[in-house]
Amino acid sequence: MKTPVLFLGAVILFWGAQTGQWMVAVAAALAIEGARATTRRWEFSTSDFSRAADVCTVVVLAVGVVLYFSFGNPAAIKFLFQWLAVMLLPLALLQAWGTAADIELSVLARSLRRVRNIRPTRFNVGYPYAAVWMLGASAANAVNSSGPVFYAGLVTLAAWALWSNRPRGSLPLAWPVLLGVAVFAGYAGHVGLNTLQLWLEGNVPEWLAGGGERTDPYESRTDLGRIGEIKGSSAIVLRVRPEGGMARPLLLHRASYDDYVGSSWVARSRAFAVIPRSGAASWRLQDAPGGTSGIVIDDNAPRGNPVLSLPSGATRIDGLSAVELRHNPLGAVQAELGPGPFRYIVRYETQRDGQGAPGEMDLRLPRVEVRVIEEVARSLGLRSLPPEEAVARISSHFLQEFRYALYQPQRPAGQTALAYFLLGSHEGHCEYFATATVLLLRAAGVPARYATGFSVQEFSARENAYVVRQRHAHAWARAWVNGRWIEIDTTPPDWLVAETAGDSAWTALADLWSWLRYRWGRTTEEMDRTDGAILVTSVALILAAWFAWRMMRGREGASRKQAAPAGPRSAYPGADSEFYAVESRLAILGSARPASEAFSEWLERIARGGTPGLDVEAAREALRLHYRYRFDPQGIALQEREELRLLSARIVAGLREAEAAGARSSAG
Amino acid sequence: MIWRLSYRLIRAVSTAQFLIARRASRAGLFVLGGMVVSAALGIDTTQTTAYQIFAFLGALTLVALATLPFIGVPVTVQRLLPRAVTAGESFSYLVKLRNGNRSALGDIVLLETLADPRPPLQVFRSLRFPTYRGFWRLTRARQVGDIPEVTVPGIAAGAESGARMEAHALRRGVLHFEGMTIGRPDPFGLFRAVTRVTAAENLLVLPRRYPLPPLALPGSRKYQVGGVSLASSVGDSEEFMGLRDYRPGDPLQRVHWKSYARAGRPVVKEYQDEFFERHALVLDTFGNERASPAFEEAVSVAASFAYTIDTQECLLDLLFVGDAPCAYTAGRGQLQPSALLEALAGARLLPNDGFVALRESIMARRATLTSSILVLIGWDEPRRRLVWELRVLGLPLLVMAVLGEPPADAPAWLHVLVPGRVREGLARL
Repeated sequence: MKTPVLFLGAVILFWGAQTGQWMVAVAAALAIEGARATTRRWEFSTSDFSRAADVCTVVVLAVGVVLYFSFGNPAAIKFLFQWLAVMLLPLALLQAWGTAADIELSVLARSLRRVRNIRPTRFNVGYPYAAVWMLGASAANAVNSSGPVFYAGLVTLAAWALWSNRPRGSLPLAWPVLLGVAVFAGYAGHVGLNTLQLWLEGNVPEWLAGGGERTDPYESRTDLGRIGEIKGSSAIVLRVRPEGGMARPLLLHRASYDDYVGSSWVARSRAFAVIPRSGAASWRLQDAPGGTSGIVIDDNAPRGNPVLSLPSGATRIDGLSAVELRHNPLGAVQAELGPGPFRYIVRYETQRDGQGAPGEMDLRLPRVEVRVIEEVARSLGLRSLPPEEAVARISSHFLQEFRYALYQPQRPAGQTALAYFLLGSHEGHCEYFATATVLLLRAAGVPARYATGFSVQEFSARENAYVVRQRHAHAWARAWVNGRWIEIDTTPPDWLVAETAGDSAWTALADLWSWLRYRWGRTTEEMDRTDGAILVTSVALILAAWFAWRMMRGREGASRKQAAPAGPRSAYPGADSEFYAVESRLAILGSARPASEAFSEWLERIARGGTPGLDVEAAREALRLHYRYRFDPQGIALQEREELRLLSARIVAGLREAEAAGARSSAG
Repeated sequence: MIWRLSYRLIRAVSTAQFLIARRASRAGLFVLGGMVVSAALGIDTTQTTAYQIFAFLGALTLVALATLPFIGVPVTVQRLLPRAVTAGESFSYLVKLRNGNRSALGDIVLLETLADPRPPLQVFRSLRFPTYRGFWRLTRARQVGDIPEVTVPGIAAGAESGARMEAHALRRGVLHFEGMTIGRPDPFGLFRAVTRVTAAENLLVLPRRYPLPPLALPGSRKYQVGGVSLASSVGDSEEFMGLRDYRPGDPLQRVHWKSYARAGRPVVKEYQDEFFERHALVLDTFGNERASPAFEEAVSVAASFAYTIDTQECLLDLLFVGDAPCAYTAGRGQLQPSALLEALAGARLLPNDGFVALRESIMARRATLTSSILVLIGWDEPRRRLVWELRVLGLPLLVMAVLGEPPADAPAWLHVLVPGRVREGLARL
């Protein structure tokens, strides 16, 4: 199926409108539709098409890999689809400028070429290629800026394609009515799909938050009670660059939780509130005149909408291109942001904390652990102590009596993991220490919360920044002492040494790779968007020009000879005779001419059958002229040519009229 | 268990594929494919607008499918098949259509329903792994013919029209037509309302043939016991029939000297009698499954001989073993050569241990034979023995063996034909 004139050009321009890449779109549309303006063609063989397909495959794979490593997955797929049609341009150009009406399906992939087929599937590149442009336009996701324009364009272009390929002989009114129904149903359907997803996101947060290394501000599942060795990954998750000095270790807080259920910490004060913007890309977290210290944080959110890592006492956030920032009463700050790497600058004041006053939840002890906690609190004599001293006693208790361990042995039956930690083993990882500290503080009457985040302490000379690895993820307690929240980290300070012990030689290699990826990401981000488009386009154009030169070299001679029979006008003498219109009109009316029947026999047969509206005499005369126009070596005079045109037009008009009259009478 | 399960699964998938291909036009398949791709890309509606494409294509599909029950197919068909076709060749035939409706019909799609070529479970088990690709390969190997769909532009009310179906015969055997599916497209041209007409017919696909070099069959004429029945008169009648060129073995008494003098080459008088040249064309049908390609080539070689040998002047016996030993005689008022091809179209590969039946069949006729052409598909002890026995009898032989690789001890008179390069091998005869 060949695409109608200008259809591909229109689809490409629509892509340009959606993506804003007008330059590329206009160039591609001209390159493809330009072929219609001339009859010059080149003769390309199946192996030429195979070579073009191979070039396209290599380009798509290479671009796919580069995109994957610079942007990570959802963004990479979107970009790839957006530019896929441009990368497939060589194949489409070969089809547009070549003499072949269609190509074998097997040229597209090497694996298909190996299969020997008796009847190879052949196809015209036109419509599939238009579909690739359409998908590219959809990947631009311009729905926010242009509203239903995408749907309108999609429907218009699809209607164009459907109309030019509609089958003969269906009821004339059915087509527009049915298309209208489909357009309406499609509109309702896509609005419904979108609404459904938004509803699901709003009502089932865990469904979207589950899995991965993403921080869930609503719930933190701990590894309490897990038996055996816990291994942290060495993957680098954050890069922290202090603007001045920085206290080490610095705790970067992500989320706090106030209720301990089972082995999970849950945030009961869930409601998130929007933080008002104080500038184009800055937000004020506290009403304070700015912080004394500042750090630049490079983060990566593979799935979008990240929870920010902030030091205690953060006052403002700058340089973050988020749509919106929200925070909950427990101090978690979430940004509304697309997936991919992002960077922000945090100013903070260590002595200041903007979180709200404690609530009833911050003193609650879980029923399962009450007995053990009360027992330990009694033995430490916590009840009678003022808050500062209670904090100091708990800290020294853990420092002196407890040991950091990643390995957990089998515990006695009937004892919770926390009870075994406090009374039995006296060893565990940060989650044990933090949970026990929070619950003991609560037993001492000090409001406390369980905080999670990262501990910043490893400086990388290569990157001239602190790197934070997955295994630097940490948990600690926050306590309300003297009217403000302070951070209490009771995990023995040697925990990092224990964590680092498992590093292998691979870690250095993985670090280098991570750094290269990060550098590349920064470079592409800093590069202006138009610069990128110009770069991509010029590289593509140079490649395309080279490829075209390779392909067309030495084929011109053949093309002149081949182009003549391939061109629509000069296929054979008299191919543009208007009598063919009469034939196709009669075919629509059900009097098709089999290939085995001569025109004259066919006409006589129809004349005998009696077709309403057919002027038989005129048709005979037109056929006589048509025969002469086709086969007379002398050709026919201009006047006779004109007569053939008029006669044919008259016959077709007569047939149309009769058909309309028939339709009216049958409707009446 | 795993075989049965994967067989069921693969079979179900291929059935679905078949039904979709019947019901959807190319545009329809394109729309379905577009739905799959846009669903994958648009799964997150906040990331791309591909879900709008998905929704629109889905709506289009549903609307098109909903119109199908309202589209009738009031068409009757009649096939006009040729008598036989040749494997590996394209052929075409006419289909006559009649519009039984009182209004004109638009586009009509004709699809032939051929016998199901999918392998049964036992055949599927012969694969090394239960894969779709293997299943597909087996299906391909069992397919006798391939007939693409044809679109007829339209038929006037109550009128007749014709369509030419272009087909391709893939391998020898019987092409079984079960019926014909006639489709009419929905208003968008995506899917079709179909009706199935039972029109069972068989078409014989003859074996593929190779060109042969000019052959001079060796051997002399032999007295045919009871062979008089092969002539038009009975007994010792020495009824003069005509003159013909001398052939080795003709008695000197028969030379027509006058004609010899006139023509400058020996000419003999021919009588209607029981002295004939009688050649045997022996096809070896015994081998295991691996010999299957060689067997197909051997059938083609035998067909080439059966068709090329001029049976005006001699008799040709085609000997092979099917369910029972078969012998077909062509020439001199007997069968036409084409009948031998029809017999060969039905030849099947049999287990190797039945070779003795073929030997007996040849030996029973040894006295009447002038020469023998053997087309073998192996070179093992029983075959060597047969050839040796025939040589001892002094019967002139042309021995060909279709073998994947020539045996090391092949004697000079054995013509080894390699599958795929048979044409070359035959040219060297």
